[in-house]
Amino acid sequence: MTSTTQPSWARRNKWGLILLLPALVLALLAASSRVQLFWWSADIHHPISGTQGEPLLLSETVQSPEGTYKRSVELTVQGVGPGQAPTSSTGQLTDTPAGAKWLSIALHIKADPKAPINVCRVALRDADGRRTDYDPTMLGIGTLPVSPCVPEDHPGPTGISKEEQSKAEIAGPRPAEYDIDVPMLVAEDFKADQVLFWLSPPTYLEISLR
Amino acid sequence: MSRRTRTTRAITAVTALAVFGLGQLLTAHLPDEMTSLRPFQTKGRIGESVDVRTGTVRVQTVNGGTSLSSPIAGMRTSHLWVVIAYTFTPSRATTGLSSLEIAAPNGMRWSGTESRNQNSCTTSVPGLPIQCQAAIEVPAEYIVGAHAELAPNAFQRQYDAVAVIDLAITPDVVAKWKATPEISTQGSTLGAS
Repeated sequence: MTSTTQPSWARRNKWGLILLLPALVLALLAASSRVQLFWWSADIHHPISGTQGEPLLLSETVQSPEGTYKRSVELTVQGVGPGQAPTSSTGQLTDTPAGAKWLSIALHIKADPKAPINVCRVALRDADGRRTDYDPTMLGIGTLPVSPCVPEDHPGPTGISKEEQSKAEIAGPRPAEYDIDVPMLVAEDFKADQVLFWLSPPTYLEISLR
Repeated sequence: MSRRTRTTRAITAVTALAVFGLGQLLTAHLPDEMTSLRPFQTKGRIGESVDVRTGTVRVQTVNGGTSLSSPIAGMRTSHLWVVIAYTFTPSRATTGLSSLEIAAPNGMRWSGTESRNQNSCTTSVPGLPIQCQAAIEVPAEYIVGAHAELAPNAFQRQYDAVAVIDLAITPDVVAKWKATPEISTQGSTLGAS
């Protein structure tokens, strides 16, 4: 008479149990891909941090209908101080809304004159995390320059196509480096703590003010 | 069949029945899709500030009349124009409030963006109010007891915050509006009132 000892439940199902953990991780990853697909690239999430006065480089590869290209901007935030109400394209002084004030961000920008960087976005963040964006339409079209980071008279190209590049050449090339002041409308109690700058989200420059 | 095998089978059967029972219980008691997709509604009244996730909204005045004078055009109606003046103050980011609807007690709804209706509310920065106005054409016979629903996003109200504001429309108010020949609306204005 032979006595056989049956293996325990855990032993019989050991492969199932071992694979359970990676299966769970895979299921979570598969579900979280929606975050990457729909939300991650829709706003700024990946900071490159720096400090006022120090140059910071933002480089990215852009996929456009005209092809894939690289663009880079070297940005130095020189300071943020009280600003004045800007003059609109028609020469009129912009009214400052009640409860608001103007700040001015002094930027120094270095970029290839042929690089389309007019899509840039600028924002200020305070210590509480409140983010005030540069919005050229907020006070009506024509009140503020469309792009906060290129000279209005020589904005450079808006794309890499031959047509856009030649249009920019006719207007005159954008300088390879220049200073520019960005007027920012903020609430009266807003105290800027950081300057944010980006071309295409999710990567952005996050410059702490001194 | 050994005693051990019988015990194992019995435990398996009981466990299977328990799992089926638990599934049945969960199906019966968990919210259905319509319930889980519903917005987070906060009720309020005219003059009250209500949080809508991206900021606070306050309906200031509600008026009505039979023709509308706006910066875009003058428009007569055989029904009523209802003009809702409201203030939106962003809390964390530069944004606006893009959805305003009037809902009648019988379930009928009228949006600020459909047909000839207007809802001009651009964006503002955190802490700075924006004065907005919406003009909505509604049939007079249905709007007694109606409320307004204001939400941050016009296209995606599921899971999001919605302010539900009682517009205090009574039969007397409707009668008064029917006798008002013209009401006017202006575009949005940035800044505190």
